[in-house]
Amino acid sequence: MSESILTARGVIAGYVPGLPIVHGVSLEVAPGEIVTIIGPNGAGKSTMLKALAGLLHIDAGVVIQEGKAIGNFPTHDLVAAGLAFVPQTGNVFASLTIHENLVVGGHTLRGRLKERLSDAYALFPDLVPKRNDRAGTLSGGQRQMLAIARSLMTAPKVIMLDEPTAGLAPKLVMQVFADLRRLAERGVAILMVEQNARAALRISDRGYVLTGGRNFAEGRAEDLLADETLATAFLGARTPARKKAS
Amino acid sequence: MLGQTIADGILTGAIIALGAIGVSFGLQILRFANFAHSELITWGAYLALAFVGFFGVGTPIGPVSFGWQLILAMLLAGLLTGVLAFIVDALVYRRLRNRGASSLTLVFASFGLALILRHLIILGFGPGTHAYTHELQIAIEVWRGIRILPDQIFILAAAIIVVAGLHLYLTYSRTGIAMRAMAESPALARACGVKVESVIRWTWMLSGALAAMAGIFLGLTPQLHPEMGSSLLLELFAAAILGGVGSLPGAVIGGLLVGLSENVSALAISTVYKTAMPFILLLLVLFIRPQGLFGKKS
Repeated sequence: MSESILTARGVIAGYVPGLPIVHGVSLEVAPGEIVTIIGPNGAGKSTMLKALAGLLHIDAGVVIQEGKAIGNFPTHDLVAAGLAFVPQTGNVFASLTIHENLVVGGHTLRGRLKERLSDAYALFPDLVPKRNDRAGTLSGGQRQMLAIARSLMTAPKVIMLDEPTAGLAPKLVMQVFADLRRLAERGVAILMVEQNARAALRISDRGYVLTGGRNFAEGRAEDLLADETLATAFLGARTPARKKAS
Repeated sequence: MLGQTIADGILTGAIIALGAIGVSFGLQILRFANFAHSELITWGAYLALAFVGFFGVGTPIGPVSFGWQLILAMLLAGLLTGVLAFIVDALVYRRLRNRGASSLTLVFASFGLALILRHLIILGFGPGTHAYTHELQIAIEVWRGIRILPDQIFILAAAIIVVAGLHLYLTYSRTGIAMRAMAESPALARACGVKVESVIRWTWMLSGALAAMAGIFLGLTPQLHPEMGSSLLLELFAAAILGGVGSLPGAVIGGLLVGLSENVSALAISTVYKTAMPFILLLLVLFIRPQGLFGKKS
């Protein structure tokens, strides 16, 4: 693995100060790498992402981006520094047009807005004919596409996505994963939380398993997929489970 | 008679609309009912009065009752009222926001602020009435017995220009788009890297400046008094809610409807009931469209 671009060590964070949900999680992502965080509900996966994105307070621990400690920086500074976050639900501005959504995504840009807009449209050409439609008129898959395109407006080095395929039809799930793979090939580091654990790991380079707000396991995606214990505990059975005689 | 009433209603409505825009922004972007907004109207009017006291009202330009000095005073008062709104936010509302205060706490704080702001005006200018100018004006017949003062024509034109400018700003400028994004979802706007505090600052500045315009126009037709803003408070909220919270065209149409319903109703029933009319209209609209005329379903 190459030099990491985002490193977190012993992060303790939560919604209410003094009541942490994440109890000391460590992880790292390298440029061009897709890293997926999996784990049961309440494991602190989303909380961890939000803390890294500057949306929740980090009580303890270190977050380093390109050699610089960035823990608890305000979100707009993190976005400007190349750390983008795509929330899970309500991740587009429904009352704004597709174009306006992208403009908001580029809010921290000084100049270069036009250039970034044409870049985003080039990456997601399906959005071009709809640019003046309200985002509320888009389908679930198109919304996800727009949310990702919007996060790309600042030319981020790291994109963090909270369950990018939640609520999508299987075909669209594959589409979103293919889009993410495409971004990774451009050198963007991708850190995501996924319920579709097995499918996500198949397109990931590495994975982390969190339980109870702590690191439980980590490794190369194919190793995690092959691990029998993990598979039954966190990935859902690969084949219909053989029922034990009762 | 009806024509004249409609003309008067539109004028009152235009002034209410300028105030209602700020109330609507407050409800949508700042997420609370700011009962001190009406005092920004009073402050705007009196700040302009202070400037007029300083460099006079000027020689009347054409048929209007004032010269360019009042227009300058108007712009300065608009700017200062915007700054005042921002200072009030920094001193009171921002502190409460940062402590995670509920919107009800902010509403009650705004009641207190309204009293403080109003009484500062009484302290400085006394409880009596003032006027920018005592120039006599003759109404012009604009169309079949409809007579309007030249000042009122100026007010209507200025209100249209201000609203059109604001519409362009909200539609095309990056800050304007960010304001609309904030109005829909502050959390997502923040995640996108929008500086939430700076958008809030802009919202206050704009609301304050618009309120000042409303106040100055009220003061021109015909006078200023310390309750000029607070007496409009309920109409402002009626207009903002009627039009649909968060919608600029909504606030403008809401303002016009409030002005019209007050004036036109006086033709049929006693003027005693005048102030009740906007609320009857509001009830009727909310029965049919709970989100207001231009509001979005949540």
